[in-house]
Amino acid sequence: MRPLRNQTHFYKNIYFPLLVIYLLFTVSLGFIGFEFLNEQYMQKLKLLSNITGAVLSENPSMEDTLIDAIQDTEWHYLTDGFATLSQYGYRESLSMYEDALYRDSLKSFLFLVLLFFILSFLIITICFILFDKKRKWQEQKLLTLLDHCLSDDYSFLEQRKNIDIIFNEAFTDTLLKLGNKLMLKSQLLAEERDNTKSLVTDISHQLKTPVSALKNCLSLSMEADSPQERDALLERCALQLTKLESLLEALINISRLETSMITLHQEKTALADILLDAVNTVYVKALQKNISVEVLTDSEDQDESSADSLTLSLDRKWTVEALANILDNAIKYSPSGSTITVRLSKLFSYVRIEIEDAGIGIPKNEYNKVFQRFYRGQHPTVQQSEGSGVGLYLSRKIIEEEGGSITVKPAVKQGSIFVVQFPLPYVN
Amino acid sequence: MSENANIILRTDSLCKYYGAGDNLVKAVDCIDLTIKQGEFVSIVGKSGSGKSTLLHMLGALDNPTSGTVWLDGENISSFKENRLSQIRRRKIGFIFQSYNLIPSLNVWENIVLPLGLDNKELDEPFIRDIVRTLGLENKVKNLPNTLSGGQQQRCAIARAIAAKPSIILADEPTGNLDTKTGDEVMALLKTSAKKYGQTLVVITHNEEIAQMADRTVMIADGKVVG
Repeated sequence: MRPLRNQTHFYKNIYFPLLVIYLLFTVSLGFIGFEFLNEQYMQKLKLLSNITGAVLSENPSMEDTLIDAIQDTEWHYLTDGFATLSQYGYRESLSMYEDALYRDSLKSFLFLVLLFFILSFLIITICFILFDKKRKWQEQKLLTLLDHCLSDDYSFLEQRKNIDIIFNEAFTDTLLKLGNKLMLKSQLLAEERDNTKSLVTDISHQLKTPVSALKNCLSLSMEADSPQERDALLERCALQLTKLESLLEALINISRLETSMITLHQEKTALADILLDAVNTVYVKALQKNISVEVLTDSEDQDESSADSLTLSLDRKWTVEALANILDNAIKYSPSGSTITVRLSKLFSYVRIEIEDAGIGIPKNEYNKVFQRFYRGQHPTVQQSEGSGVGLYLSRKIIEEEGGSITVKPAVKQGSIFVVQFPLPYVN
Repeated sequence: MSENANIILRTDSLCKYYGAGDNLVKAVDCIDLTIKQGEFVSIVGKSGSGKSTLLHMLGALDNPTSGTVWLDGENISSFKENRLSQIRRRKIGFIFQSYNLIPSLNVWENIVLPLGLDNKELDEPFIRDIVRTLGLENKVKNLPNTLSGGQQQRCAIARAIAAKPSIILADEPTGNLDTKTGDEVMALLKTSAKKYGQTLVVITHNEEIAQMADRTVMIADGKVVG
């Protein structure tokens, strides 16, 4: 089947020529009809003149009666006329066809009508067939396209030109958008699958080291020469186990979040409560390093809706976890005796929480990476300290899930500022 | 599934040169870039690195000296001007540093203006939703000059999203805003782009802002450096 190109093409090459042919034909038919009628009129005029001439040349006194008969619209002489004429074969029931004078004209008239009928029929049929063909062709193409979609083949999205000639622009646009959306969905699914795979790999990798350390410790302790040595080795085992336990806990959290096994239950929660819980979580660690945690509220905003008395739609447990992770990092990489400042401010559609430490800071090129799963900074202090590279990743995951954002920037003097933004209630 | 099928924007050795001979300036020098659908990419570079020139060519606001830009599978560098303005209106949402709102129209009118130009039927619930998401609900009747910078930029974001474009291009969207408002606008931009499934390209010199993106492209002297 030959494609009909697109809409403009169709009008230009098929519809307009057909219309012109049809118009020309109708006009010429009109002319022919006029000529035909005109001929009949001339014929009648000739006949009348002939009769008038014949009668008046024999009997000039008949002129008045004759003109009267010609102009008479009530046919007074009709019966007498028929009576006389019938003797010469002119019957009242005489059909036009039997009159040689009219036969040819009638024939050509009927022929014209027939021709007109055939041509109209042809044009309408052709139009119909073409439309039907185009429709079928479009249907076929659409079906093929949808079939491709069904079998996850979206290569047609790249060939807009091929689709453009089938449908009009608006239709193509919508079709492509639909295709894109479907493709994105199926890709997301595939991505999620890959993500789960890599998560499993990552987790097993993370578990391998502490488990093998534990195993070595144990086998050494079993072969220990003295009870003291065995006790020392067992103590190390216990330490490894504790590490393993905390790693496992973090991993369980991640895998639950990753695989959407837990959904955050966002409820109205006071921000102050969450902050308090988060600070309490890390309180002991801070105390050990003699680090104080200071919470400040934006001074310019001390009315009843100031930042610390806000109620936000957050999952209390997980948000505490997210903030505690950031605070935990801040404590871990800050020198003893320093201060960690938490600044709250209420903005137009977000509440902004800045967590500033006086720690080692994060180099610019690691800004993005610190939030990646299992990423650990290149700084020697980071490499030497304990950690699995899970905390900030989890924080980002939780905060973004709640419609917030987290970024990091350098502090003015030393250290980093983590900026967390949570949406204010009327945004969502 | 074709590997390239989800690429929304692609450039092939895109170049923009100004001047000639000794004065030749290579503003953009053979940049190959691919942006996937739904991605949030930040393009980072110092001023004069050619990032704005790049964005102008991505958005069909400027013609490349050589090379091609493929948007949605179409080579837009080959289009005539009236087709280009159509493409810009239907497929690209722009957000500029200076907001570029029309001062005599109120917020709502500014948001729906591009749709009106295209004779599109107004998807009012959708636009109301955007307005709500961006916290502009109480400001729709306001004129731009009665709004703060952050609010004006929100309005520009709403305008960009309302036309359901294939891609949103933002040129230093927080350039005129203070840090806090800037962070806020970026978070809103990211949230709404995600919510409405938009692809987002943000140009900035600020690496702190760039970290919100899924991917960062560094530009220096008209070239991609990382």
